[in-house]
Amino acid sequence: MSERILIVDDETDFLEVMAERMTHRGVHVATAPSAQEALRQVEAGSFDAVILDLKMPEVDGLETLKAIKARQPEAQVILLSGQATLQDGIAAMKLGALDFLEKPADMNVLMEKIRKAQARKMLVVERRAEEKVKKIVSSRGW
Amino acid sequence: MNPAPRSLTMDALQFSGTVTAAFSHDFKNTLAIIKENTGLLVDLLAMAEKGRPLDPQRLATLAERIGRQVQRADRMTAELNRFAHSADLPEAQTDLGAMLEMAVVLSARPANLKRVGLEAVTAPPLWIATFPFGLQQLLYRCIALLLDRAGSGGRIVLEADDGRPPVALRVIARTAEDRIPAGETAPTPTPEMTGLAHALQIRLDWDAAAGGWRLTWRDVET
Repeated sequence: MSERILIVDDETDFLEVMAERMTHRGVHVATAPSAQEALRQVEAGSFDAVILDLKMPEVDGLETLKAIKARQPEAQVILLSGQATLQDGIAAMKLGALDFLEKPADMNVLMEKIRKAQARKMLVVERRAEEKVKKIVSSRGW
Repeated sequence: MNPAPRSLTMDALQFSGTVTAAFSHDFKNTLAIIKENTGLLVDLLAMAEKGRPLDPQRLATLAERIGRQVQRADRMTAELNRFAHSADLPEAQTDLGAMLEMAVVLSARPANLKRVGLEAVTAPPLWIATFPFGLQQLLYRCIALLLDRAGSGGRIVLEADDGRPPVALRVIARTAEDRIPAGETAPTPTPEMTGLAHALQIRLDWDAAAGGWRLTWRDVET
């Protein structure tokens, strides 16, 4: 099954080339040049992974990560930054990021992370469905 | 208990670190775009080997994109080099117009993160003997305290006076509606700013009517 991802970065040249390279690898790619646009797309659709730039105007990557997780707790977010610090990495993981990569990232590594994100998201969704079923079953005394 | 004010040396080191971190971040972004575009070129060549024809127009677009990023990196290197050399001499004859332009470059990243524009109004060359690095440090701090006042869509204007003594320049905020930010009290300069202004023999005042800082050189003839 091909992956659906959202790439968020205020560098539009970066967005364009990443989208094209990922598309060549069979990934369905959406792009957003700002946090606001990213949140709009997250609300409108479902993605296996969100590749998120850390430093963006107005709303930065960590704030965006928090907002994405509040809207879709199962969303798998990979932070990508040209200015990665250990503190940022720790903060991102505490907020529920799947991973934290430094720019420029290796395409093969990134693809591997995206596949991992897809697998983890499926697992989370399955677990949720299972819990829901269990709740229904126990509430009806079956 | 209030923390002790940092020394001017500590503040200068912190300023250098902030500026070089911003440049290195932009370098990384530029390199990432170059790397992905060369990667795309490799992708296209691999596809060509499997029989998909190479589109010359596509290659031209990639070359243009890479060239644009190389120019960007070259410009950043020149700017960073100019900044590094601003600390060469404790006092140098300096063109204030060029200083204001450099201040715009150095504050570009924090301003961009808040969607605030920066503008240097350059007049005919106005030469003054000063410590260029210290002046950049002071301008950077003055701009930083105005970013939230200008707000998203606003701008900060740096302009020199007409050159008649005393030499002065202004760093003023304008909102997105091109108005002076209203209803706010004067920002308090940090101890480092006042210490730095004193060391540079600059009087640092808040000009409420202009909506910004006024920097006046004491007893300086141009």
